[in-house]
Amino acid sequence: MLGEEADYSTDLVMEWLLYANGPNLIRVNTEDEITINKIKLEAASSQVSIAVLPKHENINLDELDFYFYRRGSLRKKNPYHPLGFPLADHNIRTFINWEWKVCSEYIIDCLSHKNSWGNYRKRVVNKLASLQLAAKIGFKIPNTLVTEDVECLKSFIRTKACIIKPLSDIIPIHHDDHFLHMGTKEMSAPPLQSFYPSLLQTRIAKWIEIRVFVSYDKLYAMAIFSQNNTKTELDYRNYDRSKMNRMVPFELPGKIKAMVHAFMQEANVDTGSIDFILSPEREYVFLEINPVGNIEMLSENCNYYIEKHIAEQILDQINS
Amino acid sequence: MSESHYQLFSCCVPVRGFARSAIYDLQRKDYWFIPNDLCDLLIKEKGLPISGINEKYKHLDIESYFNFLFENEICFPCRKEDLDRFPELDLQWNIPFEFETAIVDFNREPLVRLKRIVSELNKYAIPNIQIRFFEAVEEDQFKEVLIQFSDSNMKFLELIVLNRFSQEFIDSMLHEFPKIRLLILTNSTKRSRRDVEQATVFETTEHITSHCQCGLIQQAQFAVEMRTYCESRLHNSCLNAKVSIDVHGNIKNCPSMKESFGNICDTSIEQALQHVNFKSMWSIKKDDIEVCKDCEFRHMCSDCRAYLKKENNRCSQPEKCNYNPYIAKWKGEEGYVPIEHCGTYNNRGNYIPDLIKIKQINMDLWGG
Repeated sequence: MLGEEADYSTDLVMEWLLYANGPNLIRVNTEDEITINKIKLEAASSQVSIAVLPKHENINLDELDFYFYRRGSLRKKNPYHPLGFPLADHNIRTFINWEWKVCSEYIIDCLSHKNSWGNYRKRVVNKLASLQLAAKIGFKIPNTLVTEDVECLKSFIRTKACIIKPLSDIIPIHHDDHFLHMGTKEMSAPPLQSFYPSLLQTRIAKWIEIRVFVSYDKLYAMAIFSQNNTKTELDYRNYDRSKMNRMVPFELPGKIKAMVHAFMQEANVDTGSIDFILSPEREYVFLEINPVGNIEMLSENCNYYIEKHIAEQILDQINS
Repeated sequence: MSESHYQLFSCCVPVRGFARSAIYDLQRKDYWFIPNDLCDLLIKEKGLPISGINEKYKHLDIESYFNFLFENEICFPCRKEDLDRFPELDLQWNIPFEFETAIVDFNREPLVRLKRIVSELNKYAIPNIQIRFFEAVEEDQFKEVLIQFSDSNMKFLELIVLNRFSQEFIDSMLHEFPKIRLLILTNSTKRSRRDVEQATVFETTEHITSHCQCGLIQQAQFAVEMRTYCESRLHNSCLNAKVSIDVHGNIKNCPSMKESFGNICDTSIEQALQHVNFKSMWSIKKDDIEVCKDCEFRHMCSDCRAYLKKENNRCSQPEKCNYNPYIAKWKGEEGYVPIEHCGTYNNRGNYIPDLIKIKQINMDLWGG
């Protein structure tokens, strides 16, 4: 099981597996240091064996029956000490990182050929590609523009209210007590300086937001009432902890469920969280998908026991 | 297509009481009292438009009711065709463990059965262990207990112990045993709270010298929360998924209960769990308990099955409850009378409320 140390949903899946007297489990976290014992390739067969430090667990890939990928990667510290030549130092560091990437991705690919839940190679889905695909499936999507041309931007924001948000995943950026917030923001005037290619979308009128978690053939939906709180109007992740947005179980219409499954199949992802806006006209507007998105929030607020179901899905596969 | 209807947020659940009702906010962990007529309406009139409710309940101030419900985000205005999109909460309560909590009580000699107890508990992966020392223990004994338990599978340790240690010693223990999450020091000279690493340390001036001091029903211990609510709807809110070992080593549902399922020295926890009476206590729901079933607090309450108003009825109300749900008064409040003044017990220990008398008391208390 590959996850992150503070990954509560992986903890729960493990507990359910253990309770079922299921398989022997090995949990590897992205924080763990990996050692390669050997990756031995021969014409007839190949052997892959790694060790996880500081747990000192030796893992022989041949002996694994099932692979659970939640998030993160296999990591190793880059041992390079800079010599004081910035360009060379940088390139040597980068080179060593690449060397490791080949190893770690090969190992993960070997794992992925086994029975598995989750997929490392599909942990990130291109935001633009997924919008395009969603539109092809038949979902409404916000009008979307990526540009670094100020005129192009001006004409886009002139007609409709717009928002700006990252193309990629947000990462926490802070210095001392200053936090840079990277969520969705309103965009009403063009920036004064030149700017990096940025993702703009028309602002969608919202009745509620829908968060859907998909785990293979299972689908869980939750309504988020974020529109009544000015803090969460644009982005429900601007949590108002004194008055959390209402988050309650939601039953998707059958047609939308089928479209979600069609989307997952076309995008070639098996698990993930999808965000929709449900417009006042009751249109499901696709915003984005995160294949390694949050599970706990749905599971806890809606009393869904998603982690228990995931464990059952895994046990079904192991026992079949 | 107007928002002519309303829908309850499924995390807001009405719980009807005899004299008044409550809405539990399981998400924001809070509650509101509401009058029974509003509670009944919320339960019965699902799917009726607000205008229809207005029509049907002319004698009620429906407008101010709905203002209250919308303002506190208990309900939201909803179109008729959207009503079915919002299912009720799926009432389920599951744990990936054989049981969830173990209580272990010690008197003077904690080390006598310690190894046996820990090895028995170690057969299970249980998250919480509460250890209570009813008599003073030496530092080295205390530490030995912690060493043994910390080696076990459990995740969190709660301790109640007589305060005769130095703060230095306490802090070193908390540092050494990160599984300790709560430490209550009884017999302290003052009341205090401090957070040390992952643990919270409470000093209390109370003397806790035996399990007899348990079972108090207090508002301070009420919990409005999803898991608690679901558990309370489906199981006993105190004994469910709990195993206890009393000061003599007897395996019980709770140390205060009379029935022992064998001594830890010669009985395994597994044997005790298999006894037909053991888990049957887990299933006594608040909705089935005398008096409690009429109480608006019943699904936030800790319950107690050890000290009962009527010993011959296992569904009797907790003895140490000082709330009278028939008149919505706590002991100490003006106008409080105990439930014994509001009804009688039959010979099976069932409580029969005297409706006429209750009506009279409520008229005097609350008018109307």
